[in-house]
Amino acid sequence: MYKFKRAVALTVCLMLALVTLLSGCGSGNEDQAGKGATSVSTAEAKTTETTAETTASPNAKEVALSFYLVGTPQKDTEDVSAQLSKLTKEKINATVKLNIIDWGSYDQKMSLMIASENYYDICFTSSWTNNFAQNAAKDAYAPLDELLAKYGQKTLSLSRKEVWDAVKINGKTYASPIFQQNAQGYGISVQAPLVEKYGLDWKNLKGWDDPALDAWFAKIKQSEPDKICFGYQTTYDPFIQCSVQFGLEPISDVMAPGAINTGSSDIKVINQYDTQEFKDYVKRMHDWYDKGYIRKDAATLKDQTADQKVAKFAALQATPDVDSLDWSSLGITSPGIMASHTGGLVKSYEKKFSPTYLSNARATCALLAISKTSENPDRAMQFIELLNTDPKIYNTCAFGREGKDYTVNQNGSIHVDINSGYNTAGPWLFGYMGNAYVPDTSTSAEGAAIGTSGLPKFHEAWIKVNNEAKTSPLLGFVFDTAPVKTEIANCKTVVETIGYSLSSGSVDPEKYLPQFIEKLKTAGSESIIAEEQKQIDAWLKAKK
Amino acid sequence: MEKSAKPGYKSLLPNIAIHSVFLIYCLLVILPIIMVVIISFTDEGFLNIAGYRFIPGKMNLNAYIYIFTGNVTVLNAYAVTMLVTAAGTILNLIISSLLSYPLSRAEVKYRSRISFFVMFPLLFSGGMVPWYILISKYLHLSDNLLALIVPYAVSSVYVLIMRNFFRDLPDAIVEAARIDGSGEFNTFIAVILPLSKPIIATVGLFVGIFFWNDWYTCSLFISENKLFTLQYLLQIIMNQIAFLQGNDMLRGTLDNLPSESARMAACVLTVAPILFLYPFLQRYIVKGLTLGAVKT
Repeated sequence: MYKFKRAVALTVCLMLALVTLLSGCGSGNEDQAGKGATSVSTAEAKTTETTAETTASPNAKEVALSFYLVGTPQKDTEDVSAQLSKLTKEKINATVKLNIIDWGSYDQKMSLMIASENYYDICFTSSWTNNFAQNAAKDAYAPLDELLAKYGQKTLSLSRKEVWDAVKINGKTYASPIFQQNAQGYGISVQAPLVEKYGLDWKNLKGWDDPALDAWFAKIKQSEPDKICFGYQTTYDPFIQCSVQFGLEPISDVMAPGAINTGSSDIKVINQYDTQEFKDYVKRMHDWYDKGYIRKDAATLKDQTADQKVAKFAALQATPDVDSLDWSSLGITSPGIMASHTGGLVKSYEKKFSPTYLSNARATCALLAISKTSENPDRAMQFIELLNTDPKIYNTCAFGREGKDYTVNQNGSIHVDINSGYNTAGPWLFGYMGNAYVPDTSTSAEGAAIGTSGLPKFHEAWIKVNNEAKTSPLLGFVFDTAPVKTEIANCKTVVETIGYSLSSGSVDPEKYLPQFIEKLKTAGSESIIAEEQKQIDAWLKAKK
Repeated sequence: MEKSAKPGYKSLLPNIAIHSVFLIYCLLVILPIIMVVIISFTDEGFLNIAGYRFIPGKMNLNAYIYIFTGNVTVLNAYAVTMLVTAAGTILNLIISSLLSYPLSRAEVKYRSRISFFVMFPLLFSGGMVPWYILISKYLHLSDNLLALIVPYAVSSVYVLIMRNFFRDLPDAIVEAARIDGSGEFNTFIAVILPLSKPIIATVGLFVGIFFWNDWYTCSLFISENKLFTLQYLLQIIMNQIAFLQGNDMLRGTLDNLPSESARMAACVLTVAPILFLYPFLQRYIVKGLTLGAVKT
């Protein structure tokens, strides 16, 4: 007993010592960073007051902004940051440091930064990484309403009202949407050389059930043993990933049951797998599978890049917002490219089967938020406004340094040097894409679209489509998955095991479709749907 | 006597059976590695058309050229990884051995209590967020090479393994040294350490491999490209491919990516040094593993 007591006393002493040590460190740190400790912040407040009095300009003091975004880390990010800072210093007296975090680590890195209240100013946030709704609910971001009214007039005018509604949590705006190709149409992409060779009137295709498509596939199947008629891939499943084209918008996870009918006015949650649409779809896919239009191992194949690169597919599921017909009506040649393998470009035509639609997930797929820990939210907002209005600043972020990372072509498109030290995955990460340069064909499918018509016309086309797209009645609704987490996970497993086999046509729907629906029920599809309906009803009520 | 005259004659059949089983097993282990090496030298276009082949139709060095000249800074990452591995392993060995030796000595007064402090974190830990906060906010090690070394400077498991090894060394040796007038520190350096080569090599190799393979710490604390480790770079390449394929928003940028052969080349580059190191350390490892068992 005595020994035990001594051990306890020793432990407590050590712990106390440790705590004192750590807290000592902590306050020292806060002093250093100039936040938290009251004495310092009041001192700082005084100095800002005095400077405000003497110069009467809010941007008198130079500040440094740190900007976190997802992407592939680039070799020359530092140099690009320096170039960018030169531009921003002139405009808003602030320097900007870009921090590009790898695709795989971004989500976790940001959640740790937020949990530990680390300092940063601006970050990329969205529905698919660094989850916007969760972080905003956790109070990680600064509310932007006042800042937007003060510094972001142009930013406010870029996106439509429905999108701004989608970034409101409890009535406050917590992020600034990046205006880009948010709305999606759904349809088919067909390989141009095969269209010409075997005659397909792609312009008049009505849908996936069109007999002309089947006839075309049959011809290819017969005379081109190397080709695969329909390039099914699980990551691009025509029903599970693209159910909007069947008039069904999934509510939480695309794989989990629970969707609303985009056509009807009252919002009723249904199981998208237990519908006539899914029945017809799997029937057709099975028919295609039996006829040999789809790879035999399609259901289990995760990666088909190799097939795609050598243009093995005659047709693919596509999600164009502006399709080849729209482009040609604008006098622009088809921008579609099916494969750009070293062997040369293989062109494609894209045809929408359903009108463009702005789903809830897509509306929040690219946003910028200002951290609650930011000391300079004013300046951060001004920088976001610059990303949306100043083409030079924006394109420096997106494409790097002119002459080094890219060169401007005669028609206004740019040629990107793939091996340069700064080549981010896309301009959609930063700001208003209407100001973006468009890379030419050697690196991007969109480059061809410019043709000789020039940038403005190209941008005009997709901007118009985006602003006119039908919007989801659920914009702004965030489903809290916590009450049905297990059910969702269970259902996803069922979809993974049977769902993809059905959806790729690999198994007979007569036998397996009822089984699939039954298994989903056992996995808890009904309680997911009930929970979703409950939350949506509550949300609708609060909205009114 | 027949046995010694014709050794193995009678056991020929079982021998063949046993050897062939192990040969097959060896092939199963070695073939994938050979495959990876071959793919890394195969032309990307050929890979797309013909798939993986043991006899490559078209070979070139494009994948390696891409990795060494491309956007990613592989050579630099090599240097970082080697530095971290060397410094981390040495630091870990120094601290572990200096901690575990006293714990193995009966005359150290509070050794069971200190042992408790060593054991405790094995069972309970503060978790991810406090760990992150400690390193980034209090120790200020973000974007610092120390962030890759300091968190793993000592590991409870290896301390316990080492302690058990030291405990098995005969007490008489230490006593003899003491009688000869050797101080405690000198005894440790001049007597104990030379006797402990097997355990030092074994733990050293495990720790070294851990440091060599660690990408996770780098992903959390390092955002400066100059300080990326090799494994993290490999992780970036793999993640990027996986991510872009699953994301329709990014289609069309796929061409910019290092593809299949480059992935394999990166793999070869990461495994090779460890592969070459193994044969040299292997004899110690075998000794280290069997020593304790045989002695008792």
